[in-house]
Amino acid sequence: MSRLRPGETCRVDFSRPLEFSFLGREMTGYAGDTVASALYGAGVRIFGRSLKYHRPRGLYSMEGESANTFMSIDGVPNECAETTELRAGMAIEPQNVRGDPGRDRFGFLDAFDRLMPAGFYYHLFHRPYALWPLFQSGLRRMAGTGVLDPGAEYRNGVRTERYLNADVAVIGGGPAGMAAALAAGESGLRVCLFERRGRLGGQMTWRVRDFEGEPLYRRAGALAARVRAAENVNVFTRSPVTGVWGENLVTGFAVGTEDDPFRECHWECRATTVVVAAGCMDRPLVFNHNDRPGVMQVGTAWRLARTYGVRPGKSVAFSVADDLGLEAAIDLDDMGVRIRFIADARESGQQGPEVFDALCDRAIPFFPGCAVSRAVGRKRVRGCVLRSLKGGRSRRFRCDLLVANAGMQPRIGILATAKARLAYCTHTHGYQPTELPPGVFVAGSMTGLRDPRSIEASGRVAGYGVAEWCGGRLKSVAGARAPAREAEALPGPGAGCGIIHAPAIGRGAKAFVDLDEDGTYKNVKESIARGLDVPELAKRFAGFGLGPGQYRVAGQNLAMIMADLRGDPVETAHPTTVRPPLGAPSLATLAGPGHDVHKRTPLHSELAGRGAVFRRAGAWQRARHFGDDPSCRDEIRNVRTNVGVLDSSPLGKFRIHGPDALNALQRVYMSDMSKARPGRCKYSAMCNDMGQLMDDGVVVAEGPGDYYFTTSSARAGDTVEWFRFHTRHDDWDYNLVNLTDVLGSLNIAGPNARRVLERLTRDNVSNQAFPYLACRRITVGDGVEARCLRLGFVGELSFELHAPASYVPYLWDLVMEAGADFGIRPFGLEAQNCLRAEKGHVIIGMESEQRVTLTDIGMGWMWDREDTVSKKVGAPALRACDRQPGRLNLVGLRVEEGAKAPRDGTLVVDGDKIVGYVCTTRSSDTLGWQYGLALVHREHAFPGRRIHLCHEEAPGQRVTSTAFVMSPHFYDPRGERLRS
Amino acid sequence: MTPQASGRPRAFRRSPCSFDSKPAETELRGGWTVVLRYEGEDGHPGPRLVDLSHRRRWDFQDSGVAALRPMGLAVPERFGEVGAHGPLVINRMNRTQVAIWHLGTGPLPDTPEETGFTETTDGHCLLAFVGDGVPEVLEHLTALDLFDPARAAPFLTQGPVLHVPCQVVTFAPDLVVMTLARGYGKTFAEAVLASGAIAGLRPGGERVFQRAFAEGKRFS
Repeated sequence: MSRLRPGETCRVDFSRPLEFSFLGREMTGYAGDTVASALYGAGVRIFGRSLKYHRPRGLYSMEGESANTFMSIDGVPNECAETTELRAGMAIEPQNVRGDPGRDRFGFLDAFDRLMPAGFYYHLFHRPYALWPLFQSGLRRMAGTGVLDPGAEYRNGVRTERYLNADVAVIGGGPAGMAAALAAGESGLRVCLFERRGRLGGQMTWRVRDFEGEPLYRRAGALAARVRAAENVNVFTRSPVTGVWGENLVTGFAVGTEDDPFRECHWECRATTVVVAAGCMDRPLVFNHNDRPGVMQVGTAWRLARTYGVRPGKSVAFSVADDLGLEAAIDLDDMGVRIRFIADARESGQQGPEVFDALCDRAIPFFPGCAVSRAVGRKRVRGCVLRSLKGGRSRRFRCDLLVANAGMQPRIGILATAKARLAYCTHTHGYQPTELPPGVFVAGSMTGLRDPRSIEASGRVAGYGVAEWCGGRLKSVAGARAPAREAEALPGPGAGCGIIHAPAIGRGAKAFVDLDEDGTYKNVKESIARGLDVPELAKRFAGFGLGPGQYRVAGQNLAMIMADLRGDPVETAHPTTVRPPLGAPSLATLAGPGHDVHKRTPLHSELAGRGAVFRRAGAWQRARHFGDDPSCRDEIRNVRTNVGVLDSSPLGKFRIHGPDALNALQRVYMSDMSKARPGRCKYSAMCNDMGQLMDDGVVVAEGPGDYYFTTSSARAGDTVEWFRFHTRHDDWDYNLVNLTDVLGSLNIAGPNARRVLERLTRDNVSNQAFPYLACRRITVGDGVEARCLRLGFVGELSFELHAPASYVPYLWDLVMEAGADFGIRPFGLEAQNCLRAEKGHVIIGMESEQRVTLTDIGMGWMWDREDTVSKKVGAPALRACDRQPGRLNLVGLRVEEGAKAPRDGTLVVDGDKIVGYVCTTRSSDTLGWQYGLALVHREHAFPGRRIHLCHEEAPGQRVTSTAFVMSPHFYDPRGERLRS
Repeated sequence: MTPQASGRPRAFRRSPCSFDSKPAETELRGGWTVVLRYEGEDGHPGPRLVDLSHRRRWDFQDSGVAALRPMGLAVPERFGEVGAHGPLVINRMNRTQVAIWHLGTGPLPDTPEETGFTETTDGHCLLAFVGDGVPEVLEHLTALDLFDPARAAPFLTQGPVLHVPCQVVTFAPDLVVMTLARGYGKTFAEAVLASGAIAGLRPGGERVFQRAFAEGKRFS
C-alpha cells in the first residue's frame, strides 16, 4: 500500500525499510513505524479478536488505550502494537484468534450474546452445580489474552532500574509540560521531564495549524530544542509514568531503543513537586457497532497520516464533538484523503468562521447537531448511518473509515493515582481536579484549554508556581506573576460537548462502552437492573475497565451513561478508581536486575576451595558443610578426636566504651556485669521484656569503662539499636562500635587445639597460663595481633582468634599449616550444630521461642536476681513466671533403640495431647545413639520419664515412638574436656 | 594491630573486594597489594570504580565530640557535613560520632591513644566512583539524593545503596566515595559493576582516584 509523504511531521524514515512477518506473511515497514502503523500501512485491518464475543477488532487508538492491538511479538504475548516500535525481523501474531483473524472459529459466539449477559460468570452455568467445573474450565480456557510458553525465556535484554531526584517532575512532554520544565529550569530547579512518546511536543508534533506565523509542529520542535538544551532539565522520552505516590514519588519505566544499553528500565523519581501535563485523549463515542475495524479515534487517523505517513482510509467519515476533530478532517482533506462528511455533535460553539470557510472551500459536507448512530459492515466498515441528535430521519453513507469521538477527555489517571479530588465539569464536560495534593500542579489541555497559546502559558504558570513552592529561588516574584497575567489574557478552557452516547443506540446491535472486556451499553443496563447501579459495582460485576486499557476507554463514558440511565444529572457521576500501574512494564522489569548482594566472610574463597557448601544465614553466606556428606560425620569426629577449625567471622563483635558503659551492660545483660574482668570472658545473655532469651555471648573488660563483647551472628545487626532502645530514657554517656566486620574470627576446636595454637604463637597458651574462659591478646605469625578467647561452644578445648578481617586469610594459612601434622580440617555450621547440641548448648531460636523464658531453658543461673537497681530487661517477667506451672522446659531426649528416629519439630504427645516438641535431634556417632533437645511441659520434664513422639508419615498417618528424658548435657556433662 | 613484617615485604592483607580486570601496575603497601592501574584503563573516558579499602579509617565517638579536635581536625558543625583537611576527611555522622578517612597521599597518622578512637579500616569496603558519568551510575544504584545542589560539597549521606547501608561522601559530581560493611564488599562491587556497565562503569586503579582527589582543592 502506498504511503503518504506528510513532510516535516513524519517520523518515519522511508529510506530504511524493515522486514517483519505477520502470521508468517512477510511484510515491510519503515524505521520509525510502530508495529501498528506498519501493519496498517501494509493493509492489515483486523488485528485480533475481542475477548468475549470474538468480534473482529482493528486499530482504534495509538496510545494503547484498548487491548485491540495487543499481540504476540517474537513470542512475547500482550505487547501493545500501538506503542511498540518496529524492529527488523519481528514475528507478529494476533491474539485471541482461533485460526485466521478474518475467519475466527469462535466468531459464532457473537450471536450468543444472550448467554453472556453482564456478570454471567456469577450466575449462569451454576445449575446443576455438578456441571459448573466443566463450564468453569471451559470459560477459563476461553478467557484471558495471550499465551505464555512455560519453557520460554522472557527475561530477555537488560532490565535495569534508575532512581532520580528532582525539584520538579514534569509529566508530559507536550507544549505545557515543556513550558513548565523551561520555567522551572530557568528558576534554578532540577527538573525531570517524562514523556511517554519517543519525542517531545505532544499533539503539536502532528498539527500544521498556524501558531504566531509558524506551524504548530515547528513551534513544538523549537520548544523541544530549548528543553533539551536547558542545563537543569533532564528529559526522558519513551518513559510512561505508572503512578504518582506519597511524598510525590513518581514511578514509571523507560523503553529502550536499539541504541540503548537496556531493554526496559524501571525508574523512580523523588520530586519535591509534580507538574501533571498529561494532555487529553479522545472520549469514545458510544454507538452501534462502534468496535468494527475501520472505526477509530480522531488522533489515530490523524497520526497515521501525519506521523507515520499511512493513508488511514480512502473515504473517511467524521463524527466528532470538538474543534480538534474539525481541524483533523480539514488537514486530512488537504493531504488528499477524501472526507465523506463531518458530523459535529455540537449545534454551535465551534471555532471562528474560518473553520466553516475552510469546510466550504473544500466542499466537505458538515452536519452540526448530528452523530453517527451505526457502523455498517461486519469485518470492516463499509458505511455508516448518520442521525440528528434531536431525532428524525437517518441517512446512510458509504465510507471505509469512520473517525469518531465524543470530544476530548483529560488523561486523569496520573491525577487519580496522586489522590487528587476530581469532579465533573459541566463547562468542559470532563473531569477536572478540584483539590490537588501538596506540591502537585496541573497544566495544559487537561485543564480544558484548547488554544495553543493558553496551553503553553499554563505550563509557564505551573513552572513558576513550582519554583515558588520549592523555596523561592525565583529571580523575582514579578517574574513569576508575569506568566499568570499573560495566561489570564488568553482564552480559557473551551466548552466541551456533553453528548453521552449516539442516538438510536441498542436496537439489536452492540454498542461498546468497554472494548477490552466486551462491555456493552446493554450490559450497563443489566447491571443497573440488578441493583449494581454505580460504576464501581458495574466494574466488578461486568468487568468495565478491568482490561489492559483500564479507565481510558470505559472510564468517563461509563460514569456518564450510568448517571443518565439512573436519571441523575451527569455531574453526579463519579468514574471508577484508577489504579496503578498506568502503563504496562514487563514483570521482568519490575523484578529488577536481581543482584544477590550478601555478606561473605574473609575466608569465603578459602572455604570454597576446600569444598564448602554454602547456605544463606541472614545476610551472610556461610559454609554449611564440606564435601558431599550433609550429616558431617567426619567433620564432627575430627573435632571430637583431633582438631577442627570453624570460620566464625559472622559472630557479632562490639566495643562499648564511656562512663556509663557498665550501666548499659547491666541493663541489657542478665548477669552482674560488674564482675566482668580484664582477661576473663564473662558469659551472659540478653532477654526481652517477656524474659525470652534474645542473645548470648561473652563480655571482656578491656579497660576502665571499656568492654569488648560478642553476640550471636543473627543478632549482630540489631545490637546497637537494642542497647539504645533499652537505655533511651537514661541520659547515659556510652558509645558503641560494631566490630563485626572489622574482626574476622577462627575457632580452633578439639583435643589438639592447643598444640596447633602453640605452633602459631610464642605466647604461653598452657592451661595454667590460659585457662578456660580466659581472654588474651596474642601475637600470631609475622606479628598479627589477635584477641584469643578460650571458649567451648562445641564442647571441646577451643580457642577463638579474633583478628582484623584483612589478616584472617593470612591467619587461616598459618592455622592450616600449623595443624597439617595433626590432620586439621575445617568444619561447618551443621557440624557445629551437632557438636553443641551433644553438649547441650542452646542456639537461640532453635531451643528457645516466645513461650519460654531464660529459666525455662535452664539458663536461669546467669540471672542476677538480687539486682533490682539496674532494671534489667526481662527481669520482671522472669520473676513473674519463675514458678508458674504448665511451662515448657528444655530437656534432653534419648530415643529408644530401634525406635523410629524423630526429626526436628517432631511432636511430643501424651495420649491425644501435645505436650511439647523436639527442637533438635541427631544420631550421634560420639554418643552411639539418637539424642534430641526438646521443649516439654514441666510435668514431663524430669529425668527417666518415658515420653512419646508422634511422627506424621503422610497426612493422616501417624506413628509413635518412645524416648527417655534426661539432662540435655549428653556429652562431657562435667565440662572436663573444656577445661583440659 | 599492625603486624611487623619480618624479612621481605609480604602481602598479608586482603581487600574485601576484587575486580576481574587485569592489574597493570600494583604496589605492596602496609601488607596490602594496591592496584594503581588496570590494563586498558587509560583510554577509558567514562566512570571508574576504585577499591580504596586499604585506606585507613577511624571511628571516633564522644558525647562532647563537637568541642573536640580528633587527630587535630575541626569537627564539622552539623550532621552530614564533611571537613577535608589535607589527606584526611572527617565526616560528622551524628551527635556523638565522626568518621575519619585517610584518603590523600599525605602522612599517615597512628591511631591516637584517646579512648574514643577505634580503627575501623578492616570493617569496611571503601569504594570511590571517579570520572564523568558518576551521577548516572549512582542513579542506577540508589535512591539517595547524592547530588543535591542545595548542599555544599563535600557532604555526607547515610543510607542504602543497593539495599546495603552506606556512608557516602560526595566531593564533586565526578568524585564520590562510599563505605559499606566489609562483608558485602565482594558481591556489592560485582553488582555495582553490573548495574553501572550500561553507564560505562569500569574498574579503576588508585591512581585515577588520587588524581581526582588532588584536583579536589575546590572542596578543601
